[in-house]
Amino acid sequence: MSIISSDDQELLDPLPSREEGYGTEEIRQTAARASTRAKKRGRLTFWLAFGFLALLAFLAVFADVLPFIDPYDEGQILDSKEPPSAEHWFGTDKNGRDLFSRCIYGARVSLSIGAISVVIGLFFGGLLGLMAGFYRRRVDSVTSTVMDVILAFPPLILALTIVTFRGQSVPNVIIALSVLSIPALTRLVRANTMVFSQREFVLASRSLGAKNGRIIFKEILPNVVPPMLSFALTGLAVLIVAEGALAFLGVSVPPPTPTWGAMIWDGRDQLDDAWWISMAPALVMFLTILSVNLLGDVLSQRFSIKENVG
Amino acid sequence: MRYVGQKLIQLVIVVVAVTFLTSMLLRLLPGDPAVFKAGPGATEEQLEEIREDLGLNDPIPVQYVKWLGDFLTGDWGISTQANTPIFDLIKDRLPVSILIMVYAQILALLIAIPLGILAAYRSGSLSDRAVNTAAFGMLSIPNYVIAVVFVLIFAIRLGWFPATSKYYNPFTDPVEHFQAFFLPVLTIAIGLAAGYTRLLRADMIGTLQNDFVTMARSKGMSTKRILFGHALRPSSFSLITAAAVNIGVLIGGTVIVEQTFQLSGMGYLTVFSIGVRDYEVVQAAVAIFALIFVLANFFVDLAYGWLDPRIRHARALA
Repeated sequence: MSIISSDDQELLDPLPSREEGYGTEEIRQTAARASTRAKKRGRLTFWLAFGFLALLAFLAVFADVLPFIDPYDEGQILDSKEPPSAEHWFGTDKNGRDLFSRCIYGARVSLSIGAISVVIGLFFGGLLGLMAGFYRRRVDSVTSTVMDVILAFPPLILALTIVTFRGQSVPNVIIALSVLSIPALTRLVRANTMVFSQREFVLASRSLGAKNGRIIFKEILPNVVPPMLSFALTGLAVLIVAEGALAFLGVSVPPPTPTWGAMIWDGRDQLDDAWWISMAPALVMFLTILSVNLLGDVLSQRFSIKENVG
Repeated sequence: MRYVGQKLIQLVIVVVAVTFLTSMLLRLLPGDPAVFKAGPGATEEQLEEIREDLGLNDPIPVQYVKWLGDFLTGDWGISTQANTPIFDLIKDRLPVSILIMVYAQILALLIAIPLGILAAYRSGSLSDRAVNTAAFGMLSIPNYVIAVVFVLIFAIRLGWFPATSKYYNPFTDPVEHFQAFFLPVLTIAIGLAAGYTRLLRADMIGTLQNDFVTMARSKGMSTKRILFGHALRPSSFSLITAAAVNIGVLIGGTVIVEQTFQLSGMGYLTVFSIGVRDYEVVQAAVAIFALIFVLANFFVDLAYGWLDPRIRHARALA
């Protein structure tokens, strides 16, 4: 997950190869101009990403009452494999179901499963990380060992195994994805907690007679929340991808509930005469993940804190 | 040496925990695992026999030790679906998956190293921005989407590669071997390469600020030599860490591409066995995947400590 960290603090040419002299003033001006341009570009992409996600969420929430979203299961066999048109924006699938509305209903499943799993991950990862980072010693070593064991399973295999052996259902998919998200968040929160518990305001609070619980939740937690949240966005993208992978392999929520991953898999056999069946959900999914990653990138630049501590 | 010892102890703990959890998987199934294995309509006697056979009547520690003993001696049970020993099923399929993973890792590095160096050397330029944006975009495309897009373009539209592949022996049919593996391997490699490129670029920009680079330059050394000979090595530590962390991504990727391209490897076997509820095969496959992952991480940890003296000393002092 850490691959998607921000590194956009542009540096000037490391190997000065240009002929013009490098006056300090000149460098400063160029740098300033470049950064204003970068900021403008950044703001635009930020709002595009935000707008796309807001639109998708709006459509998903109000799918039942919006007039242009057909109920996806009212298919007529006659309309099977229609290419994208004014009537069916994304075309129809093999069973004549409208792909646009299936993508929207799929967004419901994928986004809500992803979001719920992230929240569960934030809660347990946050709690465990705070405890391990604050109390250290035995609490820390037990927590870290458990997390090491979870991380010893390849992520997709772990999720696949949990859903397979517990049965395919929405709660079990959420459990599997939460298990994936907890170790990373625990580590992040633990590292941040360790840094903040050394700070003077914690000492001040303690010398005023504050109890551990108060220090953890009133002093440390507010400082740990920003990095947690920016990491959670990256985590959301990873979990949406993971849910899609499970669905692609046929191990997520069972059909006929539409999920993006399963729709992509279903269209795979018909790529030669109806490419849109796979490509429509693939495109929606790509834009969603791209938007979430962009937002996460912006946030993590705001609240970046070194993770490798302790 | 103490570092190796410590890592070995950790390895043993994790292996025990992982195999223990795997051995308990059948108990997670809702209901009686024996009913699953026997199928509907089994008599109580048959069920009892299966329970005895699976060791479900023993206390849990005994069950685990028995399971581990069987596992270590290659006695993994019989696949109910294929009616052959599970060991044989896995033995035939494991090389396919391992080859896919090794090829993908190599290809990803072959793509990422030149691109990362180019982007870092020309940082801020148009080519840098193009590489960086493309990498960011590629990181947002799940590998199963890449796989399907590749099938559409290269197999169906252009017809350059088969849409569903078969495993060919690399020594007897090298051409078919690489043709069959090309799309699956490229699918996994692209996502990895995007991550590696960004990491290498960031580290390389830092390295190029160093005095020794200016020094080399003032001596008149060629740019190529500075970049590849001097700057690459100190810039590659995050890359190596990422390559290790990504073994998990590789394993996930091989499951996805084996399924998409119908390549008969471990991932294909696992997903197929899930579909037909052949849970013992899944159990054995999970154990193998986890052990590969744990062992690979162990060796990378060792190699990492050996490559970067700073780590060795930091650990020794701690």
